[in-house]
Amino acid sequence: MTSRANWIAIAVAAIGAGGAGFAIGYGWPREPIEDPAAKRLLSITEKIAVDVAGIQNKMANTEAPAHAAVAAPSASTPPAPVAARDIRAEQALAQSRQDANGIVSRGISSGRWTDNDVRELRSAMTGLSGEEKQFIVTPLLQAINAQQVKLEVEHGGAL
Amino acid sequence: MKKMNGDRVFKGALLTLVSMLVFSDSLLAGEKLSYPVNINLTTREASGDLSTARSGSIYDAKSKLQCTVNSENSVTCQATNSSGTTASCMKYQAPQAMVNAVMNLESDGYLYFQWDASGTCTYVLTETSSHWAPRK
Repeated sequence: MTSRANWIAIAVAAIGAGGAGFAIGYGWPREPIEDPAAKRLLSITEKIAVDVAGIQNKMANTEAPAHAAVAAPSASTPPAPVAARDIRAEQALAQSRQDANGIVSRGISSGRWTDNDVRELRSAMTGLSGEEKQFIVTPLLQAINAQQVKLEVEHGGAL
Repeated sequence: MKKMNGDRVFKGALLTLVSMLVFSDSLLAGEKLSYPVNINLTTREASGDLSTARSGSIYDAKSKLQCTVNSENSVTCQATNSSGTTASCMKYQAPQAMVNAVMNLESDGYLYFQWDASGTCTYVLTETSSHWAPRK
């Protein structure tokens, strides 16, 4: 009997301690404490995002042809955080545009558009959007229709 | 007697053959049209039937009509007439209706297409009809 009473006393004490612990540690929600380190990290992240957006704008203006401005973010658009892989992808696309424009310019200068040119252009334009492709081939089509470039393509048209 | 029967069979067969040759193609057949490649660079349109473009004249080794569609739904059409004038248009990510029109083009069908100032295809018409000559 005594033993039973002891056990009950122990259980009551344990419950009491737990309740007290709850009251002390977790009882009421507190206002979040502003961590200065977290604040600093946030400002660094924002600065990186702004820098990345700036680099992208510069790339669009210097490396890409005039039409690339269409793809560049407008001034009113707030800069979005961009990961490093996006920068690499954007660089690759800028290179693709440059290569494709070079192939088209070369074709127009030579006055001939051959199967080889088609293959090269198709490969260079991989990853570009339909609108960009259309923009890139426009000078070529205009030159063909002005009879300044001779089509010597056997397969696949001029795509 | 046997020889006479043989002659009669031979003459009958010959007559049938001659009749077939005379009446089969030119006199009893339906309407036939031939439409060589026509290009108008001012109104930006080209047309013609593929059969005539291919085998219209022995003096014409330049005529050509062609449309291509690829897996990105990009359409290219090209026409060259007998004097070597060429017209070409492209439409990247063309509307499905334009892709369907190109895909319906038969090797002895009729093709008509238009383009705008930038060389973008704006309209493609293809036609399959008995009056277009079969490809030779």
